[in-house]
Amino acid sequence: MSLAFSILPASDVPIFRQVMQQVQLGVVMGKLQVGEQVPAVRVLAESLVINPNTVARAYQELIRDGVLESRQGRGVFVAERRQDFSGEERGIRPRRSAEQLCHEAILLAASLPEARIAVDAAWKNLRDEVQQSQNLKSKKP
Amino acid sequence: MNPVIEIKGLTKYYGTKEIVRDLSLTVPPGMIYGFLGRNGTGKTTTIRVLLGFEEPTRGETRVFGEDSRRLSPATRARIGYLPEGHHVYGWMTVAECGRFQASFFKSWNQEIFDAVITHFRLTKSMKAGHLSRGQCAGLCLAMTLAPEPELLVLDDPALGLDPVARRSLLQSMLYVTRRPERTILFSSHLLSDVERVADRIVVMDGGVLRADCTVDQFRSSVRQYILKFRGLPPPTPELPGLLESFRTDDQLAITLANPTADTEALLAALNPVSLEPVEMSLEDAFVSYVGERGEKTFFIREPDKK
Amino acid sequence: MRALLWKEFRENLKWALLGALALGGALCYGLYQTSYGEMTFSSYEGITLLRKQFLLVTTFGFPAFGLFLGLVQVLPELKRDRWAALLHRPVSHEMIFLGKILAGVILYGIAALFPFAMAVWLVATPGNFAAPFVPGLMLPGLADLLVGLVYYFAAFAMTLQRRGWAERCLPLLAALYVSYFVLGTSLFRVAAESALAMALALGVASWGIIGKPESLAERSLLTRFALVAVMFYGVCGLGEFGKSLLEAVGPEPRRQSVQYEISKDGVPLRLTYLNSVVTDVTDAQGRPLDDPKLSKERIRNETSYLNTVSSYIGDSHGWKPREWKASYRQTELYLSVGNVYQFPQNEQWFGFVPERSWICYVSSQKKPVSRLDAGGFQPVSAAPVAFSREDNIEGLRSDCYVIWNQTSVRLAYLAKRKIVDLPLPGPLPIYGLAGAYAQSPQGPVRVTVFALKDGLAVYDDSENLIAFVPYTRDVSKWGRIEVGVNSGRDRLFLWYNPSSWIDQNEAKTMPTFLEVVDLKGQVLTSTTLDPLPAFPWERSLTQMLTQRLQSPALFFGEMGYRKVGAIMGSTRLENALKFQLVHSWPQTRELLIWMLGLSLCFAGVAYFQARRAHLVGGRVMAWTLFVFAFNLAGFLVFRLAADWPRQTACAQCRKPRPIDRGLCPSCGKGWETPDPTGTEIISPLPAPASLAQTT
Repeated sequence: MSLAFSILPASDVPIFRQVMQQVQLGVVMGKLQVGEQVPAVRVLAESLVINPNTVARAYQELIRDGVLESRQGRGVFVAERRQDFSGEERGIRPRRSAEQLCHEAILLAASLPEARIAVDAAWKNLRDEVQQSQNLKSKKP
Repeated sequence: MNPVIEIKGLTKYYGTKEIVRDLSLTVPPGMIYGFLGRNGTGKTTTIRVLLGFEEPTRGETRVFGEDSRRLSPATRARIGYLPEGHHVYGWMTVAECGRFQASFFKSWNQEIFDAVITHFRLTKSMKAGHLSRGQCAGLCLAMTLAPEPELLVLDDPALGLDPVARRSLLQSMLYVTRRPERTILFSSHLLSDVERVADRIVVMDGGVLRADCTVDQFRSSVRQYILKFRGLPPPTPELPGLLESFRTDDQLAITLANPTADTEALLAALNPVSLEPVEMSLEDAFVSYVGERGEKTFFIREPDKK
Repeated sequence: MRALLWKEFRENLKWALLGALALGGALCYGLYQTSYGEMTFSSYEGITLLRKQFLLVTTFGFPAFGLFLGLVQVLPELKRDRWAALLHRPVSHEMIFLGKILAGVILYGIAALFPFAMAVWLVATPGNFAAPFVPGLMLPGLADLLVGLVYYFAAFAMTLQRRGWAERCLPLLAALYVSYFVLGTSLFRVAAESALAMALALGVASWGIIGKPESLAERSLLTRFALVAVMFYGVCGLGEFGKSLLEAVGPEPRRQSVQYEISKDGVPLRLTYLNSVVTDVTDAQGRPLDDPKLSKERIRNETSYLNTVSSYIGDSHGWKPREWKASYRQTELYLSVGNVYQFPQNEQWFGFVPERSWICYVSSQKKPVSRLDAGGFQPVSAAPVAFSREDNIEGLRSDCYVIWNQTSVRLAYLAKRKIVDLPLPGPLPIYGLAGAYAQSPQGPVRVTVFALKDGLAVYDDSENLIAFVPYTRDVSKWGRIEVGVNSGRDRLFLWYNPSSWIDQNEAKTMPTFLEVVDLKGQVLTSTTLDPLPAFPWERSLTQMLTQRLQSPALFFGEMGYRKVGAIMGSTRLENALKFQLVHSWPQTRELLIWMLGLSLCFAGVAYFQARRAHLVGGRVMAWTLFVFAFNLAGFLVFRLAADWPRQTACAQCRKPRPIDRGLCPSCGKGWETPDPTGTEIISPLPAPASLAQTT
């Protein structure tokens, strides 16, 4: 597994949610392929030095969200991407991060077009990265 | 499943001073409990009563079903106790400490002892009196873990430890829970550590039990709201579950416990310009929960001026 | 268990070795350090193991080390968490305690028994000391060893207590009481038994405390009983200490007495004493004197030195003189110490008291050179033949021992190693002998006097008979004759006193007679001395308090013991009982009134205090009876030992209520649960099946 997890303990975000976010990011970035097994609960817990129940809860939430699926007796695997996020969710959740971006831009006295350039550039970078890792994976036997 | 620890109505006085008041708690097997509270709120006293070193003034405590005042040696073998201070006999070497401790137990896992010793970078020939604080903690931890107790009671185990030693301590605690039905009760002031490993937390405030829930439940039950106003904010109203409020020129930050839709409505009734809930870290939530009550400007409580 | 022993041993071995060194050094100093140039022994100072300096070390050093060892085994570990770490092991607390005390007793042995044994070996090995060794010399040291153990256990009882400072002091006071007792009693067996008993009581009490340092109620009956016993003796120890203090600083009672003394010229005088100081000197009839030599200040120098030549003369009346037994801590019980001879070399004679034979040691060579026994002077290698029980051996004269029984007198000249028979002038039996002494310008004047059946035989410094004086009074009634001689050695003063077999109360009413006779037996002057009035014996404040505050239980117990003894035929006990109940009934009655009155008062106070503290019903009565039975001591023990619950004011009725009981005894209200503040976050435990799975 080439995925490096880390958690910030004293942050506002609960630990299980941080784990969820990182797993999700890994799936989105292509670092975790569909059908690949995610690290075992205990292994991940001990490497992050957190309670296994926290990892278990994160996995359960992701299973409920459809990001992961549990196969009886064999572990937890990445599930097929299912587009069941509602339009509302797609609207609300990015907006929070967008607000943060705008705050930062205004502090720096940037203008709206300058902010937009930044968004475009970031989007492009991420897209390229995902493509790259997908290419790498498909080249392997 | 029989609970590992049962505390019913425990009240403890030192002289005529009440230290613990009417504490009731049940700890089932297989969980990690964090025992939180400010200094002097009765955590160590509760642990001492639980293990039979002090006698309760009223109420009773039981461990593995046995009354704490009459713990049999067989039951004591199932409880690992790491008291504050990490006391060792300074003239013994590490190996002698291990042998001394091992002689009391029927089942002693020397591999665990050796593993923890190595993990804390100790050698068998070091004298216990020459060890640093963290190394002492490692030695005591090794002696406590090697008999593989079913219940581990740690009283402020991370006191005075450096971050690496603290991390090792947490890892050891998680290692213990590899086997099923292993229970840990530990008290700590390091909220980040508690957040990492605890299943549930118990919060003592002034000798009284105030919270007994999971970490996430605690966090979601303590919420802070920022109310922005055009001018001077109105005085803080009487709200159920009010923990603290912080007033500045145009802003009122109110921390509440167990907020409901009604309380949010009450807040909205103050007619603020904006009303924002804020996520708090466990440490911030805890500080608000057990800290000084009432309204503050900066850190001193002032009477209402107008 | 072995691990515990090993740990205790290793931890404290250094103290034991240090103690062995210190005690060993002190004991050797006590044995060897002497104030005389040569190695000689005096009865006053004691022989080898009974020397004052040696016993000083055993009396104070052993207990001090015992106390120190106990403290050092417990105190460093006693901080709360450290102690918890020790006790939280899968062994019972009692085993941990046992481990400590086993190791402690062994260490005490190393530190105290070992040096003592070395000292005994030193003394017992010939060639080290110019004195014989008998096993009995070890006894005082052994008793002190046991007392040291008592202090060891007292240290445990003191430090393990968590109640109050008063309870902490009591074990030490109980140990002090044992020290007092062991020093004061005259039998080794009693001393040893009492020390062992107290050590046992303290050990059992500590055993009970170690698991339950706070409450009494949780402990077993045996340990509670032991603790109460310890506290009782602790209070007694406090009482002893208080008595000593009071005697030292309290008001002195006025003790007045009047008695007759004989002047150097044979004139009887009447001296009045107040607290041992002469306040008045008159003649025998009470008339004042003119002679300036006989003034108050000089009277001590002017009185004659009289000795009793016989306590009683006549037929038996079934009376045997009371033998004075020395205490086990005194040399006299084992060895009689004789004088030292200069010529030809420093020699000292020692008498084996139970074996009744004598042995002589040379001071410089530290070895025995001669024996004196029933066979006369023997070489040392000969087996000793004991003197018969009838023989008395007295060192009246400086150069010989007088060996006499009822039928013969022999003089054993020590330096010449010769025994000479002394011919007697009158009919036998011999009732006694005495020496009389006076100072003259030519030097000291001495005579030796034997009381025979019809008169006194008077000898000079060697074996010459210089006078035979027939009795001039009825010696069956006035058989205690005191003899004196004048400086010119031509007058004898004979003072006839009532015989010792006569009851004290009757003797006080009989007159005495002073006869001045010359060497031919002629009575020159004869004076009848009327019996003198007796002043009432004023009790000191200490005695009064002690008597009135004594426990009724002990008082009536002693009376019961005397009664049983009287029934079983002991005249001594019967007489004691008679004296108490008949002869001094007014004093006894006064004492009873005070004692029972005080007991009742204390019991009453105890009852009310017990009720107010809401002690359990049966306990209230038990404690009240206990306090009544043991007076002040019982009351103090009650205050300290009873399970006093701490009390606060009840929220409802404002009366005090014990904090460890659920309901208020006055109004029945329970305890309030803390009010919810609205900020409680309590969530129920999940059902077991829904706990997260770990894969």
